[in-house]
Amino acid sequence: MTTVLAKIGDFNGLAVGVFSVVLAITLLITRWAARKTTNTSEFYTAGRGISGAQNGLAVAGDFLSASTFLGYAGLIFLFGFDGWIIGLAAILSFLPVLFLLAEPMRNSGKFTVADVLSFRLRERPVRAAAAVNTLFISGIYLVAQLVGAGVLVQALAGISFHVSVVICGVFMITYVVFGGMLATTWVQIVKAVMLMTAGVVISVAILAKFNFNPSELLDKASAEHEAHGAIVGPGLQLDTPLLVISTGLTIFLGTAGLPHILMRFFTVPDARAARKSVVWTIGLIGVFTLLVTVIGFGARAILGSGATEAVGKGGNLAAPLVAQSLGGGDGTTGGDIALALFAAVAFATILAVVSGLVLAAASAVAHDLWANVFKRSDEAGEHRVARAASVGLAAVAVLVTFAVGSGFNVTLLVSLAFVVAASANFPPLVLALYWRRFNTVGALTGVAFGLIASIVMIGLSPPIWPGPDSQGSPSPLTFPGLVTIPIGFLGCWLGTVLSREREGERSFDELKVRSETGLGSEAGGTPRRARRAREGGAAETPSLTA
Amino acid sequence: MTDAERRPAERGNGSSHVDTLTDEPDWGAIAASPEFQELLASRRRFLIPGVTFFCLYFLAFLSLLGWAPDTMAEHVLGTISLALVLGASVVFLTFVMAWLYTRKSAEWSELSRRVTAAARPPRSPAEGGAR
Repeated sequence: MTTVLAKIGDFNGLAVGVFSVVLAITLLITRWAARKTTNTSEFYTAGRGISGAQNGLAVAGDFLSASTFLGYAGLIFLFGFDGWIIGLAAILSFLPVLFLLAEPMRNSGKFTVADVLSFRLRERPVRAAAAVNTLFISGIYLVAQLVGAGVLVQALAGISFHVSVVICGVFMITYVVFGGMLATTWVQIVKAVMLMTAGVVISVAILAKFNFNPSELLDKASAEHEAHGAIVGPGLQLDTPLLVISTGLTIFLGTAGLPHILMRFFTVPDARAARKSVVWTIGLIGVFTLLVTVIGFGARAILGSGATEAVGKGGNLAAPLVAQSLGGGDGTTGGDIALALFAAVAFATILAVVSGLVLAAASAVAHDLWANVFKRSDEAGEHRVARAASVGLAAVAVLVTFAVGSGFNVTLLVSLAFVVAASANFPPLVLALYWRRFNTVGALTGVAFGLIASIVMIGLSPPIWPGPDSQGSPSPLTFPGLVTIPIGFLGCWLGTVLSREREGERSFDELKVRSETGLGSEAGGTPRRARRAREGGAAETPSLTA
Repeated sequence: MTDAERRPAERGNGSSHVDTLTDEPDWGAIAASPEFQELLASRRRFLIPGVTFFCLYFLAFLSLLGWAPDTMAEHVLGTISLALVLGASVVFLTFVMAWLYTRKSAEWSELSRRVTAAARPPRSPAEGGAR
């Protein structure tokens, strides 16, 4: 297996060829989408014309980033069962999304998470706080994805880190600026289909090698791991109970608070489609979560203990290497083709996820900050600002990626994004929808508590304190949600009960009726028909009245 | 868009059933209507036990992993461990609860149709309420 080392990282003409095909397809999608994206509603929500099934695929595409898809398999390769816990927390997190968020958000919001919060709370401060959350979470996550992307493309195609990052940057800007949400959605759909296909093909090929007997597969995997049989049980990576619980909780509520995923529920015509899309997502990610164990343990069984170095620090290359091995191995035509196809899937995955993140961040700047906090500009202006913000934010993300470099600890960034999503974004959102008494001060305190607690706890955790990846940190929790999520909720509660503000309660009835019944919600489907329907009612009120 | 248009709270909540000028429904009256209360109660009856159940299930799963790692590493089926079986059960729990929710939501759609029908005067058909 050491020959693999030489192969990975060399210039791979075949992989670059397949990448080019993927890029060409996405550009065609963008050209088609660009013609249909002429106003802000189309830019942010694809005119609310995405069907439930399409959106379900797109949400799955948004969530299954390169770091999840390659990372899960890699973690299972390295640590056995413990690598699976994050994946399990993630699939379960779509239940709170389905039960508590998707339909009410679709019914009461317009373009962004902040719309839902500012429905009955004081608009400017709450919107500003929600925008800060979105920018922070999406921005950090974007840099994490770009670092991972650069490393991965470098390894798989032999293009240098910097060039890889720039290519990703240029393409994500192109999709978002010209094709808005429609292009982003279809890039996600294409990617999700590719990813699921690859997952099924690789899993079946692995199982076939072990006579479709999982026990036999696990036996071989155990024999190839220094911990032997212990890999089918917990404790190899998350070695204390608190670490297990904290990591599980952070991913569980963090996934349910990721703005670029929540934003997708505004792209469907109505609450029923929003519900349908979560069900699709659960089906897809659920199957994927099961398949990934086959790929992870299979990589261990097939590549063996000798590949530990070749798979890289986070094990990210375990899945591509196992694909290569299944194709016939290093140096064979089959192996080369398998690796190139796999690399293309990984590349599509990266491009789709980063464009979703750019779109979420740009919406926070244009719709929340520019148009509603600073109260600038008309709709055409907002569309221009959204496009400019996409370019600006993407450029900043690329520069930050260069600054931190390819050796940067991506897990640190990912955990920071999830912790903030779970502790500062999720609590105020749920309380705004379900707690009558909740008010502006509560939301602001909650966001502040959640953000500060997250940053402090990450700062005190092993990747940072007292030195990078060192021993003896004050907090052992790399994913500190166990501490920070209660602090986020506590902040919301304290702020609410300590302030006398009661104004939000008045409109709680309205929010409740709208969010539960869809009465008066933003119309969907073909925008023109919706517009005509509105003309009879409250004239030129494109917002919350129907 | 002006602020007033965007802020529903600031729009006049007419005292009548529907404000004739803006076609704005009387949210307070709808919220208090028996149809809506029935919808809320039905949702609550499902959501509170549902959310409690999956949260507790997950916490119990994580606690077992954390505090009983040896038991969890025991083989239950060939070399398939208890941890792997319970992990798969989390995925299936998600499938089953999503299916239960979907099944239940047909009922809520019907209840919410009744709320919407009661809230609107029959003479205004051009409403874009989500359905």
